[in-house]
Amino acid sequence: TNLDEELFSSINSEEWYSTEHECTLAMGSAYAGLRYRGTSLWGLYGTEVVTTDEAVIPVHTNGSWLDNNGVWRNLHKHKFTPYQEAINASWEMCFNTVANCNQIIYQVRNSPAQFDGKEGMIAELRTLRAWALYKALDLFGNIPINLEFEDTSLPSQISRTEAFNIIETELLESYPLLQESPISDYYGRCIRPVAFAILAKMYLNSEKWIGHDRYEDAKIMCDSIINRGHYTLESNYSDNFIAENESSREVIWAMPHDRVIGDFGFQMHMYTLHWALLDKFDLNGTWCWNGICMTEAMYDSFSLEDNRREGWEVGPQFYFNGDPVWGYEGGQLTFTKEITNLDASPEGEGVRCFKWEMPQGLNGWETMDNDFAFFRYADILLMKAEAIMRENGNTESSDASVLNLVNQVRYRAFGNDSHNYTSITLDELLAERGRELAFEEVRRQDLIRFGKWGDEWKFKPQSEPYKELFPIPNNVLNANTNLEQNPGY
Amino acid sequence: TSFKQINRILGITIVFLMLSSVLYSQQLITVGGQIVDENDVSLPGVTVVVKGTSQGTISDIDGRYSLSGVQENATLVFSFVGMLSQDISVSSRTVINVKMEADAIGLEEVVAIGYGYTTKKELTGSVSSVDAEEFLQGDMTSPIRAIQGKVAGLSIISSNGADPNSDYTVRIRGLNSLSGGKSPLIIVDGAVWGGTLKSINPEQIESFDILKDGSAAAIYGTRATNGVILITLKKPEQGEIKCELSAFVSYESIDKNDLWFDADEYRSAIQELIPGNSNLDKGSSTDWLDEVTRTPINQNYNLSITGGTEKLAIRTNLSYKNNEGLFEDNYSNVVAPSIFVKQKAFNNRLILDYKLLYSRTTSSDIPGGLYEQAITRNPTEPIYDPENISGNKYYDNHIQGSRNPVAMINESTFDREVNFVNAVVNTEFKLLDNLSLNFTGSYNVWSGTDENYYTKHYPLLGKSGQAYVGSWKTKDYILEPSIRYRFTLGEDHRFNAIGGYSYNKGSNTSMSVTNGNFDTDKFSYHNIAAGNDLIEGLADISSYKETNKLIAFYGRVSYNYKDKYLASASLRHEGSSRFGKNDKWGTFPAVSLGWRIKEEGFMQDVDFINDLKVRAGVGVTGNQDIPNYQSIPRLSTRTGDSSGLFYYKGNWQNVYVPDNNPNPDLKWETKTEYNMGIDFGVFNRISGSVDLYSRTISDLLWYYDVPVPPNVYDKIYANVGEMTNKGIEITVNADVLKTSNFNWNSTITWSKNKNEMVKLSDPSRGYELDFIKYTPASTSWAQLLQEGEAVGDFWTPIYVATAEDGTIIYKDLDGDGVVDENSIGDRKNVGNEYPDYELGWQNRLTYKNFFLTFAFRAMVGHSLINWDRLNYENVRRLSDGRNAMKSVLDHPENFGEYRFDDRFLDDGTFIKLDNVVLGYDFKLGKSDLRLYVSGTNLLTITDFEGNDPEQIPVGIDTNYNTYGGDNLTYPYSRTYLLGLKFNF
Repeated sequence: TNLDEELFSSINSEEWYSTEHECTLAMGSAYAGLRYRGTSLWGLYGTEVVTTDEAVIPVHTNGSWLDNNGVWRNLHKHKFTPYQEAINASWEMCFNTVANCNQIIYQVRNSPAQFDGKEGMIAELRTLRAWALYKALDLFGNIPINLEFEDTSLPSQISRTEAFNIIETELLESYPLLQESPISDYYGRCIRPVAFAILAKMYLNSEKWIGHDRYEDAKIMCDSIINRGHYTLESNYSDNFIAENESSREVIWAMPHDRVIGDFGFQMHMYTLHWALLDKFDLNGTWCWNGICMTEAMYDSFSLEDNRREGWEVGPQFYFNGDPVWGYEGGQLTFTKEITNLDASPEGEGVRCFKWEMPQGLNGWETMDNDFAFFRYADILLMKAEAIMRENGNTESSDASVLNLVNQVRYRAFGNDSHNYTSITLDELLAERGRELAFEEVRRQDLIRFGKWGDEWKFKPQSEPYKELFPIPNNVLNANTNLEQNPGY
Repeated sequence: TSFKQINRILGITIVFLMLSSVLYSQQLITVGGQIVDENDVSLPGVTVVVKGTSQGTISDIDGRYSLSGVQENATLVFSFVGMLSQDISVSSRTVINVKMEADAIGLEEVVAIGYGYTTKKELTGSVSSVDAEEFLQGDMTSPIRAIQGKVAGLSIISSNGADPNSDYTVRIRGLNSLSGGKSPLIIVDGAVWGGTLKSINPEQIESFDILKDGSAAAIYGTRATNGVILITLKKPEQGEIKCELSAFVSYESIDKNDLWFDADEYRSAIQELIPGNSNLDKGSSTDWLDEVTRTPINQNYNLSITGGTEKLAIRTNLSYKNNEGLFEDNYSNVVAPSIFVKQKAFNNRLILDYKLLYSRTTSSDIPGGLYEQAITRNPTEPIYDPENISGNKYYDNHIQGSRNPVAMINESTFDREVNFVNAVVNTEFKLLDNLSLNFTGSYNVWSGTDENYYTKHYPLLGKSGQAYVGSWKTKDYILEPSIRYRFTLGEDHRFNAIGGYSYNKGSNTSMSVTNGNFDTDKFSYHNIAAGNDLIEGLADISSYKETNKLIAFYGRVSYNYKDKYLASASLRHEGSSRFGKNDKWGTFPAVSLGWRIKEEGFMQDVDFINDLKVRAGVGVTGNQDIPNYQSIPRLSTRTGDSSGLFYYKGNWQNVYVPDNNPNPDLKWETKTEYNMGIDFGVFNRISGSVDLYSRTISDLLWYYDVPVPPNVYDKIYANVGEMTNKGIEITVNADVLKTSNFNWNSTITWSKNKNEMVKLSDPSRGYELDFIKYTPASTSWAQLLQEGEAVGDFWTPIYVATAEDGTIIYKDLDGDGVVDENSIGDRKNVGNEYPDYELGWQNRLTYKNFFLTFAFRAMVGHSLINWDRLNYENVRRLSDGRNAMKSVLDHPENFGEYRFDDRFLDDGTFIKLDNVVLGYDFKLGKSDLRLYVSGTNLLTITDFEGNDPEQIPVGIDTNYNTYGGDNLTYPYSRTYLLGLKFNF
């Protein structure tokens, strides 16, 4: 009458965590859980890129499947609902990471295994968890926080200030125990500069989020990264986005991707390419969606000499041997920057994203090899410049410390200093951030901080202030009756 | 430990027996005689029993019997299937000749109940029996189809059109679980049948007995909520060798609907709907469905031979069945030999029954999506394109997700072989005439291999060839010792008791390998290591194992007072490994009563009533059909998934991910069912029964959304809800005409079930659901489940008009000035997936040696999402370069998004002529020969415009991935058949 179940192909989690190796592999699940939702249209790309003035997904005629019955158009128009997949997945990514980290921290802490890096591992998990909470705070504002695995009560929402303080404390307590410098063994993991970068982002947005100005602290955090001297701008902008971009000295924290991890991950080639280009890039058994494009306005903000413009594709398309690529609506496939009709756009309309080196020879749903950077050094430089301006109350600045920071980025973009700023306004700074960091999941936060999120842009009318937060997904509200929907929804 | 239990039971029993066997010694004689039927033809196989004992014999081939050791004042009971049984007092006679009379209303029919048999007369639960003679004849792709429409409350629906490799979905009395299993428990000759019904050869089946209500099924405890189907196979018969040969050939034709454009219609449609788009007409005329389908010929042969002595009788059976599918290269081929041996020893005190069934099925499936691709492909496209050298000259339309159906068939291989072995031993040892020890041991092994290959020319494969080799094995064994005891108190109080123990252990194992990018297609799947994906780290390998265990103690006592008052009580105490450590064990009681009013004195003179019985019962059953391991906190790996690997110190490492939220309180769903029924027979030609039931399923399992954190996973299996089903079932059988030459027998079954989701929340435990929006529609949610309402309610926005720009305008139902098609306020309940009632009507007409049977079946009042119309009654399909439904001509306004609303919810009501058989019986000396022709699925009367209105209702099910409507996975077919049966 022994009715205990025997496990064969999975493991009782109570019997795990007995060695350092087992703890490490469990920790890995917290990182790996970010991979798809962190870089997919059905995740952060949907909530942080498509919703901004940099990107749009029109319905291309002749067979676009990427429309998904209007969901991408609605996200772009700020018609948010608690049922949209990208919003749901963004929530899930944040809170699954928190829950998973809670469990792993608890188990590692109580594990009989004693090893050198144990405290560091716990600090690393706390930092990763803090990043997930920072994202949740940014996207949803009114969030519940539960940091104890053993606490099984239903969490309730806390004020944004309280949440801000908890996340800040977590990071301040953890960072001294983190790996200090970006050695290759720690690639893709939460090391000390990552904690500083999260804090810098939080302090920079603090005034907007909780009405409390922390620009001085933001600057200090940026300096904590800059003064370490580990990071430097790559001389070629595009080196940050090549398939082997793990060698970039500019990347502070990236999500590693590789074909061998299997399907999904980062799939810009599928999101943006026209299907006639499958052959050119030797993509097999897959179907490109002819989907995501840069908006015309954003594209026009690049000057002709800007090297960063090369990542954005317009004009007639050719194979590598120079033969023209034929479209399906007659004639050579030609990308134009203008999109005439969001709901029925001819096949070639829209600027395509070639910023990340296009992969070749991928099959099916395989992910691109390009690692996706969540934090990049250029961002830190521009943030510091912004922090100084805002700390001094400037809307325009010719302060040498500001210009020096921005012009490092500017110089790299043009390969000379003839385009350097001699004075810069906040609006120009936002535009510079837009060009430098396009499609890198920073635009939404920037637009909100600069007060431009609700503006009208082509295909989008003005949107109400409550749209600065996304609605809490319906199934989350169903599962936890303590939660209240964000105002306005 | 299980054997300890057995030993203990044995010990108690033996002591008990020794005491009781001392009790009798009498004056004994030998009685014999001959038994004949109404036409004075000798009747073999009649059971002769000394009343009140188990002492008895069976008449031989000449109808003769002899019974020794009979008390002078005993009463003999003569019984035979289909005959009225007779009680005859011996009164010191030594020769008693008997003439048996046919039993018009089947009172003496033997009915299988859990762990035993009874007669229809003595039955107190709701049990329906169908014997082989009543089966539908013809090309029954699954044996269960032979009783389709014959049992009120039993719903039998094809899972996938005419696919020779799919089986039927069976439901008894509606939907009784949301997240647990929904299919009835299948027991074949006392042992649980682990696999598909299809692997049972219909020719071997003697009867189906369906335990519908809780009081009948409760003896099967945690597996009985969805009812139990007992299948009895034909047994060895003693006597001279008898052979039965049956054979048929049949052919099928596709049940084609005329709902899609052919090439010419397509051309004029694009002229009309999207003028000026010259790109769409590709200049050819192709009937894509025709190109990939055929007219299949099916063959079926079965030879069974039986005979032997009283001590040793054998039945062998050999069958061969070959079903060609409607598509090229699509088939199922079964070879199944089996042997049954029945032995008696120790003065007939030991009866041994061995059974060995084996079947080998080889089959080939079609590539997924083939039917839809064929139906929805532009009919003006050519099949071949001589220019497309790299694509093996198949025409490629470069439309996303569109595959050339001819290439799909030609460039892929799907081979499957399934082997099945079922070994059963049943032993009975009679310690006394009325006390026996029984033991059933059963071992089932199913093992299968799947071997697939896609060549480098398979459309959209994306690599140079891909091979898959996988195998799986499902094993289970059952050990069931029991003790059976019959006794009489006084003359009239008859008791029948059984007590037993059951040990059931099952396991599933599987492994598979996928590799791709082969240098050549020549290997197919026979050299799987050669693929280059392995070298690049892109091949997949997996293996898996799981086990589960069930342990039970059960018992039943039935009581019969003068065949007038009947009672039965059963109890099962059962534990399942699947449940949480706090809730492994449960107890499932049942009680039922019967009153045969006909036996009362005041009824004796009411001649037109042959039988009248009322029954009532209550029983508790459970449902443990959920995935294993839900109560244990588990970590698993996710190889092949983007979230399965972690970049650590320059290498990719596995990660260990929480797989579920453990629920140590997890237990079975518990169903309590009350059933009341009347059985009646009047005018010696009409009989029937009416059953009323009310079942409540509590502790309903649901895969709940839970907050993360504190949980580590966003769902948990928990017992929370409550659901009821109430219904009525009526069966009437009548000899409409009864003359010497011409007879017409007709049966009508009617059933109605009403479902209610009583509650689906338990706020005290944090499980609270106001409603569930269920989304089988790809575009938005479609069903709403609310407390107090039925499962399967469709809620849709109400269509008003389509604006110029294609925007669809819906009615503002809640009048708040805003139409939000996702809100409940702007939606309305416009139908339910489950039928209001189901109806069956079977007829058998005989004229001299001719016979004709036909069967109609209807499901009335249910709604279906019309997936064809939702997706293809849209101009956009045409402009995207595909085919569309002809009805798009009436709806040029549909050119934008595919939106689910009330326009696409159709009435699913249908009447089908399931089966017609016309035959002739020849008498050739001692042999019988039957020749017959038959047709199945000949006619469907329905307003539904789609593939077929007969679809499996799915209710709300988080585990299910089907649609809740008609979909294009396999066409339906009509079958015509020529067959013979030869007994010699």
